Amino acid sequence: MIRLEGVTKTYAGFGLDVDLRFENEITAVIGPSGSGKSTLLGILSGHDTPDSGTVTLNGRQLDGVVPEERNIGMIFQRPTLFPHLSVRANIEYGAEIDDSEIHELCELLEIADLLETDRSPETLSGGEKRRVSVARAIVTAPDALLLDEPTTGLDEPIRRRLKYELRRVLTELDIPCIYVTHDQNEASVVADSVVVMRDGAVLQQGDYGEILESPRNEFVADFVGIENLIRGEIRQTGSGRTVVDIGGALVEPESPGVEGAGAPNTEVCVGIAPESMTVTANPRDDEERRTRGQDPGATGARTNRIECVVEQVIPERGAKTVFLECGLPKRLKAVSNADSTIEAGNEVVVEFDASDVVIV
Amino acid sequence: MTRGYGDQSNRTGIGSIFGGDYTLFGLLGAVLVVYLLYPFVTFFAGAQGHVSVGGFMRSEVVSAARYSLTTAPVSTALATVFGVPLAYFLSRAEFRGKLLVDSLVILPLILPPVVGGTMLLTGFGNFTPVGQFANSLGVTLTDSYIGIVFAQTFVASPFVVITSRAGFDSIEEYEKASRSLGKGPVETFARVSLPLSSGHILAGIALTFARSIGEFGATMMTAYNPHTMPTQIWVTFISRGVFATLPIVAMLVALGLIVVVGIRYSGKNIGVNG
Repeated sequence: MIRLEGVTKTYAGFGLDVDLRFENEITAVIGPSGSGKSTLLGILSGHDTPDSGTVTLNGRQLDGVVPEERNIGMIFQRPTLFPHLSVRANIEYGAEIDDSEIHELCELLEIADLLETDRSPETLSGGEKRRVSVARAIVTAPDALLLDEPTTGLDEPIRRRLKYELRRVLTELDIPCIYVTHDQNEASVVADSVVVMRDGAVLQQGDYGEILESPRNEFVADFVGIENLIRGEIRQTGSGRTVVDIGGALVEPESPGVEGAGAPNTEVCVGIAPESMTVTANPRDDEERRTRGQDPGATGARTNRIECVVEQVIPERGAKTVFLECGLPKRLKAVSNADSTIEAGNEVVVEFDASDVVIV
Repeated sequence: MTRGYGDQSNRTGIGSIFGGDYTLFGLLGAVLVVYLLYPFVTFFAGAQGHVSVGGFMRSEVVSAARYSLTTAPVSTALATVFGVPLAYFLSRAEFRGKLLVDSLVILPLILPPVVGGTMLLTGFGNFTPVGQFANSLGVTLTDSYIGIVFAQTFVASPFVVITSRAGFDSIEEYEKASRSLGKGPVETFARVSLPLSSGHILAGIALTFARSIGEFGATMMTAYNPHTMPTQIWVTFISRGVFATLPIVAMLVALGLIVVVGIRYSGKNIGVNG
């Protein structure tokens, strides 16, 4: 386990100030550029020195410990394979281990065939380079592993495969794996828990599902993919119902979710993930033309319905992104099936369960 | 005609020149190329009547070559031994006054060499405390072999520092990777930093050597005697005319070409890809 207590670092125009705890699991650190993710990794790896605070790894204080004595593996954005050494020499650089162990590790990472010849790292594909860099870091049996956007710059299919493979390999390590990314989707696939950072501070840490259910603020909500964020006022609370006026429509979140949100007339922000919305092409024939989602009535959950006009439909991989004008302060974004027949200009009904509405 | 991206062949006139085609740049660049080549052509064409083996064997030519070829390697070695560590230090360390040291390293490149020579005279001349102390030990710092090395090192050492530093700057992440893999700074320097920066360092050494062997302005001030090859060119030109300088000019041009080819070759080994 890694603990950072009162760790600060100040550069010109930037300050990091964090208290964090990383368990023996994969934790994604997400946040925009300049949020302090790389500085955090620098401090953990020992390449950066904090201005104050302490860092401990499995109870061992790391203050003043140089990088080579920390036993913390690091995988950089660029694979940083030593170009003057062969693939095998790269993997063996940090530790000399048995041939059988190297083969076992390389088979796990699907790079065993690269060991057979004295291949130069420069002959490898982007994905192979990343795998070799992971093998090189793991071979030293680190007590923790830091990954700084390890899939950056890879083609999408390779990136997609690699993140699943990383999840599989990192899970087996059973050490704190800190996975920095700016991609919330990647974070949700790879990590067990998430740390959201901005401007050098931790905004929220927790299980990805928990953060999705109760993001601490609008920034966190937006960053984890709850893109429809609309400010409104609570109109009614109590007797198991809460209604929020979002300036053109009334939305009903699940009451337990808004406990403590405030009394009537309190300003709140309502968030709905695009994936939680069902877009129905014809409001008058909703059962036949439903394009996505289940019938909310079947589960007994309360369903919100808003009539909208489709403004734009953008086909993407396996789905269509639909932008909707619903008479609200902001247009809504929804995701529809790839085979949906919805077109720009269609009148539609957008439905979403009360349980999918978060109050930020 | 050179082509830009895509097929631009149907474009004409101004559109062709500014529409992604490199012709204009090629034409402007060609002016400089012709200007750079022209003196070589005129010199070697004009010197054809002066070519003789005897010219290369004249005592002053042999002596100048001997001095240049024995001082330049020493100057280059000194610049390398002290310059590469300085380059590494400047690349990695942050300290108060770094900008000043950075500027100081570049200054000899900017200053006219004769100004550098003047400065050196005020530091190491026969009548300075350092010069007199050296004299008392029987060592002459000016108008001597040492004076030539002083001038060459002062003027040429920035090349190895600047080029090596560029190499070290480009491999910092590899060093971090090595440190995170359990290797200390010395082992990392030997196993990663030096091999990965070797192309840059070798290019810097080659440039320093070429600049040392061609040094004239500062050398004129600190060590007019004994004559190095550039000094001998000047002396020969004054006494016997421009084409009489052919043997030494030809040797220096050949050395220059060897250095250029060497840098080109080492340049192929510089690239550090992700």
